[in-house]
Amino acid sequence: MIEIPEHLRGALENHFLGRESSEEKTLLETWRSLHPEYDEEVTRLMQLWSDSGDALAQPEFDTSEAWREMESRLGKKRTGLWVRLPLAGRIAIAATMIGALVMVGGRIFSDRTSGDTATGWRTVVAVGGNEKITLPDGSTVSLRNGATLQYPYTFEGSERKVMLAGEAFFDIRPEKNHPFRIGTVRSITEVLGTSFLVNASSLSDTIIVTTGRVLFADKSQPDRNCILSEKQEAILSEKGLEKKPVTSSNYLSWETGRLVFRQTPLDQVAADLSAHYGVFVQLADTLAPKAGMYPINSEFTSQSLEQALDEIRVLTGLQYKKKAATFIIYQPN
Amino acid sequence: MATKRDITDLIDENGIQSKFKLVFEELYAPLCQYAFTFVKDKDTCEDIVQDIFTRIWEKNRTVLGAYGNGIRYYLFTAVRNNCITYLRREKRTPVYTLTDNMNENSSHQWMEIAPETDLRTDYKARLAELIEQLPPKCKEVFLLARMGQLSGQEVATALGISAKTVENQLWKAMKVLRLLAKSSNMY
Repeated sequence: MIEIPEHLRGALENHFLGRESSEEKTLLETWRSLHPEYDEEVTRLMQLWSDSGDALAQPEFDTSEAWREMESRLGKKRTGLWVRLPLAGRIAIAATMIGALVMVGGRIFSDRTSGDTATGWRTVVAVGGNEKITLPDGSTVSLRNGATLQYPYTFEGSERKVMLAGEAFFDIRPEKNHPFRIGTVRSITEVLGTSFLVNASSLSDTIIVTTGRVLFADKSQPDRNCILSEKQEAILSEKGLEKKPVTSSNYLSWETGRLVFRQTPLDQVAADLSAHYGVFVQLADTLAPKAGMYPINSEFTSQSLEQALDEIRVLTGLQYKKKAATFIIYQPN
Repeated sequence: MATKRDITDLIDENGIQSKFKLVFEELYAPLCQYAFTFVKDKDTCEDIVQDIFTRIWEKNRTVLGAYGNGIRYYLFTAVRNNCITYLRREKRTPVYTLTDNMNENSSHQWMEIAPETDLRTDYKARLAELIEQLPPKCKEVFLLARMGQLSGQEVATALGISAKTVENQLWKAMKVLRLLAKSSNMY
């Protein structure tokens, strides 16, 4: 067997890696041309390098499945942005008189309450729990932990306007000729005399109307708007404005502390658990098409996520596992 | 010659995202396979590799703009370090580390290849087996160089040893594997 001379080793290593310099290339080719056996030995070593790469390429790993996990881990949403959401929320408005819930995900201020009487605006940040706020007109707001609300010390002028980042539930007093408007970075919601939920995350705003009617508009393109009534939901994102019937009955679970499932399909359960506990709960690919075969009837109040998942396991005979930051529900073999 | 990528190419968010995805798609499986040489549990390997990518995305995106082979060097080194940390935390014995106090010349059992075995049928399996049986230091150098496709100097820096040692160990491994190929009449 031919020994490769020491002074050629470095050149040959780089040749294996496909990044030898032109000097190294000349050096190697000169040596190879000295004798057919030299030339053959280099060819064989190249083959060996390549074969050992194949031999080491095991076990198999599923890159596309892993990429899907990465996307949910990094909070990639349909808009094509990767942002880790601080477990965004929703806004729900519920009121017998008039209620509106607005939720906007976004930045979190470090101070709990601050105000500037000169400008007349007050900023409240819910830190360490949800926060109940009574506005100057008597309307009340439940601010979800982490959300921020800015509102004036007194409502002056023709409108009542507040700014929201994060999730909140508004219960708004009706005042004719004095519309109530909730602004987020992206949208403006006007209460027309009813109750609704708005959820603005850093990627999209969602509004859910529980009773009454609401006008929901894109801030930068006000002619992009829609009127929503009871049990309707609209989502505003980079993709545009989408209107549809309300799918979840648990959008207020953060406020009530209760998750209720009544013949709820498993994929909806997973979505509600994700929103409520601030984690990613998913169905395995093979299970997802059969989600409707597992209607869940259950109620969770103070349970931990694991306790909730354990109960689902008992109810359905399915299993779950934690993979990275995601809980995956799957069908055991 | 591969073209050098400049970090300014990646200034816009979309550029960073596609680079991130590209690197992930190219290197995820090789990195997991490299991790598997330390930690013999597939799920743990995937967790270790995904943690590293998550960390890059959240804290260290500039590494995506590294010149040439920089990102490979970074990732393979990170996988190695995190595997060793994992094994230490789990109080399991690493499969191999450079701190192993072993006599380089004592272990030649990997040379004893039963000649009666029909090696041609499963040559690559034998190759994998033989790599597994290389002396620790030799194996560590070979795996990092081969799987990471890193240069001798990069391997030396990653392992904190001299470039000369890397070269010696690498060629020792090549020689052993070459003997196997020969005895298998492969070429």
